[in-house]
Amino acid sequence: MARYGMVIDLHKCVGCGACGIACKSENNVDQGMFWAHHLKRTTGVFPNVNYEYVPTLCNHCDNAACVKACPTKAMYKDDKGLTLHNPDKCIGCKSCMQACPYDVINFNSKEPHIFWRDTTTLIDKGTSSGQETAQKTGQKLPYYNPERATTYAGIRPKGVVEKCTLCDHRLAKDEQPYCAYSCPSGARIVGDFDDPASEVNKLIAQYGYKQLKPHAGTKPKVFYIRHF
Amino acid sequence: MEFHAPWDIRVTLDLFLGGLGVGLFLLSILLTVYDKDRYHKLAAIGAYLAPVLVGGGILFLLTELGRPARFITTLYNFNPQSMTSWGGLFQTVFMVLSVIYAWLYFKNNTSGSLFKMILGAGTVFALLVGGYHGLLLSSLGRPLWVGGMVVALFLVSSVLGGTALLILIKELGISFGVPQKVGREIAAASDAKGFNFTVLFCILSAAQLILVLSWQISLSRGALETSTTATSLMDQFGGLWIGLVILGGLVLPLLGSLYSLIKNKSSEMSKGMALTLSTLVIVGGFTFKHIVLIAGQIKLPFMF
Repeated sequence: MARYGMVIDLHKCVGCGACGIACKSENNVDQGMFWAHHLKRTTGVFPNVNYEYVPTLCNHCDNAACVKACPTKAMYKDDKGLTLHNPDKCIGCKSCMQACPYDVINFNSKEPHIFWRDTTTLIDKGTSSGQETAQKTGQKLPYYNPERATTYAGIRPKGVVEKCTLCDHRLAKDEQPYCAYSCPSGARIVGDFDDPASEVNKLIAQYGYKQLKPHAGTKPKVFYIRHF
Repeated sequence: MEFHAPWDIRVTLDLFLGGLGVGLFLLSILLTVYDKDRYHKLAAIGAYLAPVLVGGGILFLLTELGRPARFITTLYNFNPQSMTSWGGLFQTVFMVLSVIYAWLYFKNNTSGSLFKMILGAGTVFALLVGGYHGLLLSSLGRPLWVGGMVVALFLVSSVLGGTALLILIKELGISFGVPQKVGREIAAASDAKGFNFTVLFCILSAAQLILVLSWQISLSRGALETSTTATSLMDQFGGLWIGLVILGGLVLPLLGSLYSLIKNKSSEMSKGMALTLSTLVIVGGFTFKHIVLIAGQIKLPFMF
C-alpha cells in the first residue's frame, strides 16, 4: 500500500501562485474557493525584513481529523493514502471544515459557475457581464475540464464540501498532480512515502523538514524543506 | 479579527433548544420519581415540551445542512469515529423515547412497566444527548472547545435552562394536556411541603458559575492557540459575556435564589423573582452557547 504525499521545496518556490491557478483550472475550482492556496508573513522592520510565502493544500493526513469528524464516511482514506471525498455521501454538515486544522476544505454555498450566469457588470456599458462573456464566446456551461470527472465530481454541486485530491485522476495515470506539473521552479515533488527510495524520502532525509501544525496530531503528509 | 463561521445561529438553536428539552425531560423524570402524584401536572408539561424542543432544535440543524434531505444517511453510513454520527443516533432514540413518555403521561398511564422502562432508558439517552451537545464541539479539536470542559458546561447549562423553563411554566400557571381532575388534585396539594425548585436552581447556578469561571481561567492560562482564542472571545463578545452570561445569567440567579433560601429555606422564590431570574437564566444560557459556538470558530493565523 502506497502513502502518497508532497514535498515542497521552499528554497525553490518563488511565490508566483501558479500552483493555485493551475489547480483551479485542472479541478474546476470555483471563485472564492481554493484547493491550493498559500500563507504569507512579513516580519521585521525595514531594512531588516523577512518575507515568507508558504504554499498550502490538503495535507492528506495519515490521521485525518476530517475523516474522523465526517458523520457519513463521505471523507475517507483510499489505498494510496490519499484523503478523498465522496460528494454523493456528503450532507454538507461542515464538521470536516471545523475539524481540519489547516482550513483547506471549502463549502459550496452557491450553485457552481454562478459568475457565468451573472448579469452584473463592473462598469455599466463599459465591461461585459459573466453571462455576456459566456454567450459571446459560445461556451457551453458548465465549462470545465472533463478529465477531473473521471474520479471525482467534475463540478461539485451546491451544498457539499470539496477539497484537494492530490489530482488522484492524474496519479492514476502515473502523472504528477497539476500543481506540481505547472510549478515553474519544480518546487513541488510528489511521491510515495512508503517507498524508501522515492525522491520525496530522499529529499526529507537530505534537508530535514517542517510541517504545519504538527502538534495537531494529524500526521500531515505535506513536508516543507529548506526556507523561502 | 474578521472571519466567516461555517456554523451559524441555527446550530446554536439546535444546541440551545435541544438542551432545554433535555433539561425539561430530566426534571420531569426527577419530579415523577420524587412524587408523581403531586407533580403530575408539571412533569406532564415537561414531558410534552421535551420532544417538541429537541425536535425543533433538530429542524434548525437540518436547515443548516447543505443537503438536509440526506440527514437520514447518518444512520446507515454511520461513522463510529464521528460524534455527529453518534449524536444522530442518540437524538433519534431520545426522540422516540420522549414521545412515548409524553404519550404515557397524556394517557395518564404512569404506573406500568413500560413507563418505568421509559423512565430509565429516557434518563440515559437524555444524558447522552445532553453530553453529545458539548462533545460534538470538543471532539473537533478547535482550541476553544477542546479539553472536555465544554461537555460539562453545556450539560449543566441545559439542565439549568430546563429548570428555569419549568419554574416559568409553574409560576405562569401554564397547563395543557393535563386532565382537569389532576389539575385540581395538584392545586389542593400545592401548599404542602414538596420539591424545592429554588434549591435546585441555586445549586445549578452555582455549579455553572464555577464551571464557567474555571474554564475561563484555564483557557487564559492555556497554550498559545487556546489563550489567543479566549482573548479573542473577550475582545469580540466581552460585554455580552460578562453582562448576560455571567452577571445576568448566573450571578444574579445565584444571589437571588440564595437570598430567598436564607430568608426561608423551605419556601420558594417569590413569583416576581422567579420569573425574572428564570428568564435571565434562559437568555444567559442562549447567549453562552451562541458565543462559545461562534468564538470557537475563529480562525487564527498560523505558520511554522
